[in-house]
Amino acid sequence: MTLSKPSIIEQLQPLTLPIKQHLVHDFSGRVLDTARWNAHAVNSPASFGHTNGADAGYRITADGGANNEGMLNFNNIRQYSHTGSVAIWVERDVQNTSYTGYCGLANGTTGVDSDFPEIALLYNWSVNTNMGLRTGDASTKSTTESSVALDTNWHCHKIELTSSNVTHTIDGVLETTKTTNRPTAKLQPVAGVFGNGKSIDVRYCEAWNT
Amino acid sequence: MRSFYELTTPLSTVKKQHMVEWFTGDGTLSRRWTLTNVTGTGNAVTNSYGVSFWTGSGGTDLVTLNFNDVIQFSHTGSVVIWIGQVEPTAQGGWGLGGQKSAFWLDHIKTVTSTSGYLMLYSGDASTESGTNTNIPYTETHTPAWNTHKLEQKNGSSELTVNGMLEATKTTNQPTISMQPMAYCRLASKTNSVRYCEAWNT
Repeated sequence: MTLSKPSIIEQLQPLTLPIKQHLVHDFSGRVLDTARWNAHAVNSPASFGHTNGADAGYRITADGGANNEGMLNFNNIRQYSHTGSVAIWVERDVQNTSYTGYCGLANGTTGVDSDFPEIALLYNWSVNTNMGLRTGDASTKSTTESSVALDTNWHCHKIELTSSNVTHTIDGVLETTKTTNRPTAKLQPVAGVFGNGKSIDVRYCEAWNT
Repeated sequence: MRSFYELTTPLSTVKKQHMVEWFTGDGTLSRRWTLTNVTGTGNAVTNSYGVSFWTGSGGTDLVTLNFNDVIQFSHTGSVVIWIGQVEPTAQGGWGLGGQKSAFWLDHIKTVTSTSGYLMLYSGDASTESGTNTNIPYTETHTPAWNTHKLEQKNGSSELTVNGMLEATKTTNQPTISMQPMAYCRLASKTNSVRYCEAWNT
């Protein structure tokens, strides 16, 4: 790749535009950057850690026991707009039965066990056939399934919030445009899993305000 | 606005493991790194160079900067770029390694050896070997910052220095996944780094 600009930000946008909040995290290394991420056992026990192996990323596990849930979040430091932001997650489900795996943007840290509101999430619920986009306003949540079946492969999920809708793009293909039950408050990046001895892996997260 | 993701990868392709470290901070190593004293007692600090790490006073002391054996980069398809320098008379270098305490096994790295030239080394599970570049290793010493790109392919290793391909090697190829690693050896020697990027291809 030939660089046309000396700065990274100028690869992304002209300097004449305001530079808004922008996060890139690669989930590589010895341990998680806990100055940024909160590895949160929503319902204990849950475990967290980088995984050995090429492209293995970082594993979140809801350990053995009923209704366990583990979640990465920003401890509810919410810097991303509910009317103009994007999140990209590279994620895979370690299994595709008896679990809920999710990643995206959310307000709150109480997780999917309590069905937390104010969300725009990839929502892989094993009761469904396909990967879904779940959004929620202050009181009501709803899910729209994509055409992509639940599986255990890595996928690139892009979730974009505008003032009029929320879109979900999987591996570069726009799958869902949702206009109902959109968040009404600022959001933070989150990823997590609910289940009994169930896991998801993540290896990339990017979020920015548009 | 474009995404950082799309600078290197289209959204239709699932991005592989890819890390970038600028070695800038408040005096301590970022949490993704660890310093391993293989022999002796060295240390590391964030400073005006980026990060400098050094050996203790023993004549055979050896330290490595690594991911504490979290090995996420493929032995059949990965690249690492290090910008670094070592002080005169030090032995030190940069690359990818499978074991933090044994940078002579399952690895690719640069070596400043007694041959007088910068070398590309690689190692399988039991044996390492090297090949010379045409670069006198004194040119890798302080204050010369150099950009070292090491690519591990399926069956060959390549070293590019400051944009020029300098060495290719096909023997003693690594057999397991690897982590970014840098090293320094001999008594009271320093290796400084200011950028590391690694990704699977």
